[in-house]
Amino acid sequence: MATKKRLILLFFLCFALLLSCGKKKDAASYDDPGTPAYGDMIVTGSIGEPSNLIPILASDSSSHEIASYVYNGLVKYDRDLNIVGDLAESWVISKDNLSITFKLRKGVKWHDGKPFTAQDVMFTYKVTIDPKTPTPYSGDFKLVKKAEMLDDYTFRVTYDRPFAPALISWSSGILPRHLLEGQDITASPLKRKPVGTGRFVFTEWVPGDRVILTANPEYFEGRPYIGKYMMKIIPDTATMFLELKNSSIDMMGLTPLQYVKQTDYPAFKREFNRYKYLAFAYTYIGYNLKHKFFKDKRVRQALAHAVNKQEIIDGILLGQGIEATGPFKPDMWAYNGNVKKFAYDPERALALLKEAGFERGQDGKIRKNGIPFEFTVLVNQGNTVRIQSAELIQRRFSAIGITMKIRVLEWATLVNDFIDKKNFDAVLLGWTIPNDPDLFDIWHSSKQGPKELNFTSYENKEIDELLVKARHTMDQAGRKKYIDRIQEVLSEDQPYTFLFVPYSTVALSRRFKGIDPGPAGIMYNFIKWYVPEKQVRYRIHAAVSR
Amino acid sequence: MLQYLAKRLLFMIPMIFGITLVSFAVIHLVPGEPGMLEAEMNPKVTKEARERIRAFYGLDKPLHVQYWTWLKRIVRFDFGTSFATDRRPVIDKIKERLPITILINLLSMGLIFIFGIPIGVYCARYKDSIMDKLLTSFVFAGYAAPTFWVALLAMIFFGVYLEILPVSGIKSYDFQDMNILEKIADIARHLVLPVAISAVGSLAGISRYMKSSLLEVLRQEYITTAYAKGLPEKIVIRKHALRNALLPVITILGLSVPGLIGGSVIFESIFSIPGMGQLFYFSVMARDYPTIMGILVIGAFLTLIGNLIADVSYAVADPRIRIG
Repeated sequence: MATKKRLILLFFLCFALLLSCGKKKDAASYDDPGTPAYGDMIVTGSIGEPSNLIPILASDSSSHEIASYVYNGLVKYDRDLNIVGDLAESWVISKDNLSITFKLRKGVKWHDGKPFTAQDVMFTYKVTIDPKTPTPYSGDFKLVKKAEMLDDYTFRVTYDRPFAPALISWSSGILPRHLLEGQDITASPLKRKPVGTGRFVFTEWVPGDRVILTANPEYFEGRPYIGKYMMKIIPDTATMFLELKNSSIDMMGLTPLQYVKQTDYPAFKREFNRYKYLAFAYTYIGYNLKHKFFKDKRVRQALAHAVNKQEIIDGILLGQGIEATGPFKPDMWAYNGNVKKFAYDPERALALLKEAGFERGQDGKIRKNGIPFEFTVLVNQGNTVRIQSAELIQRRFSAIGITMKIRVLEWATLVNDFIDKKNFDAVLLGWTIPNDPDLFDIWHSSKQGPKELNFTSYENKEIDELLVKARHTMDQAGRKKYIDRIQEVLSEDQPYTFLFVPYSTVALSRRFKGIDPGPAGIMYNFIKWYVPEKQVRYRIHAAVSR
Repeated sequence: MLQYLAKRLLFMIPMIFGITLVSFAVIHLVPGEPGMLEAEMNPKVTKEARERIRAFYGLDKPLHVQYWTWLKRIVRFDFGTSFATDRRPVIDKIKERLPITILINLLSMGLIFIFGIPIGVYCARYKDSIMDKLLTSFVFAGYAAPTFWVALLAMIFFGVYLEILPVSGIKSYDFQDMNILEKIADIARHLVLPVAISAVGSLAGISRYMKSSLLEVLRQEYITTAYAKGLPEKIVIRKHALRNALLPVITILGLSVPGLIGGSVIFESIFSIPGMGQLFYFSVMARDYPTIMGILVIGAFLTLIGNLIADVSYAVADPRIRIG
């Protein structure tokens, strides 16, 4: 028995030893803005592991995030979503709007030291449209009629018709020709060890655990102040939030609840700043326009009047959002604020329904030719905000005699078995708002096939024409006229009830300075972020290994 | 004995075959396809691109053809290449993640036995005492509480509130700059919570088995004989009762393998440990069929081996089984 006791004692000793070497809390005050200095590391969390660091082959957001630090496009967006040069110094659009000539930056080097030239741009274009490359992103490049290198630093593309999103389609990452040419791109080592021209140089990837990047000292826009970037892979969001509270990660997107309640205490605010900006997304109810009731525009307008959008924003987003009036958000140049608005007005809703032939019965339900107004809305599992919104809307609809059932489905099932087969009455979903305001794929009547995005079967001749015109107008002011009109028509037609645009809410360690939130978010000036010398947390020798 | 072993080994072949067939069918029945889940409803992904990717993965062929292709490869121990866009060989992906999963499982199994057996013995010896009831309530509470919930509570308490243990992961950020002792201590610190928590849930099973099996033995006549010849209680229990009572517990060892592998999926995701369970979770989310199948085959294999070891050791210990 004595040995056993000793064993137990030993066990607890070991345990105590483990606990004793806990981490020490940073006592530095982060109030002092200090002066820019090189060094420190930023740690972010990702729920998914990157799959492939060659951007044209990857379809997941964590791969694209890493790629955005390692690679550059020819152009990019600035703080206010204007298109500015990246690898291209300047560009000229021809008089007939059919071709773009890019002047490339000179003296840019790949991370392995080789010079960057127009050959690389040409190669990236060719490999993207190569039928052997399994990329989902070849669509925009396939519209190019001719691509040519005029010299080592001049690249010209010509289109059949003027194509408005053409310029920004060249923001996709340019790949190194000297490392990829003549090889099977799907077997290239670059998918795990990327070599780009970007702000950060790939350093290490520990599978399932972390990806580490190091600042590129020779970056053409200047060396980033922050020495290292680490993406920590944390599949569980609750764990990630605990790691944030524990200051083990420096940056994380917050849910409305986390933003308003769970991070609103002094200790957290001492460690973190919280930022918010309008997200590039909106949430909507989409109606199946082949449905016997939803065919009628007046019914859709009535439903829009019956929804209390502000109540959803206050109750579910806890105030972290604004009402949506159409497919864009107010801080975009394409946004048109002068569209018909549908205020919460159940009386008006009932009047419109009456006009459309509905009668309210003794039991309070409304019917048309004896058929009660009942439908099911589909929502994807795991998205609490959407499910709760559906519940609020359900109550508002039942107040005017409409029965809305809610069905929660797993994402892939929802898309494959219901949306693709047009087997639904209504859906409550969200769209990402693209930076470039091309709405063709979602609203044009030709895009109704399986796996295409006009799944509500919206058909409007005027919209079709406007979409095509907008798409083929290169001049922004001219294009805006068409896009403005599109928003007016969509608002009148209400094929969707546009619900809200949420805020993106981010917590970021207060030791990082130089952040300036804008319409593009906060990451656009990442290389200018810095940590003052005294507040550095991770002192790591940031030597770039070649 | 050899004949018994050969018979058991032969039985494993149709078993593995059946398991793969069922897994393959179930996984392909799940809606959604590899590489497409995140591209679903993405305006930048054209229909043609979609078809091209399907053909690239061979998903345009009928299901039985796909299974046959897979089977032909697996009998040559070729697990294929992952459908995740990294296109790496499945076996490499599993190899780099298997050690940590096995380490955690062995540690927690050790912990289960170190704590479970004494608890069981104590509860059998002092049956219906207050301590017995307390211990029983404790192990059952551990069994009943969902692992992920206990894990989160422990993370909040030890990690965020007390700040004495890391919340998740397996290595600190400055791991590379540490010396070998610090490295071991660092990994050990990271392992405390996951190992302890995966063990807590299984304590109930082992201690209950131990208790009931020991009680059973203590009722036997030869125990009465041992008492009658004047042996002290300690000797009676340790020499005569415990050895016989341990037999059924050996079987539990083998049978707990699938539970531990299944449990890995949950706690490796919560603690973000880069093990096989986490790989399985990611693969299912991405519908990466070859990786899912690879992990299932290895899991099935480990389970069958576990059963085999349990049966064989039981047979070694108890002659009635190997003869019968």
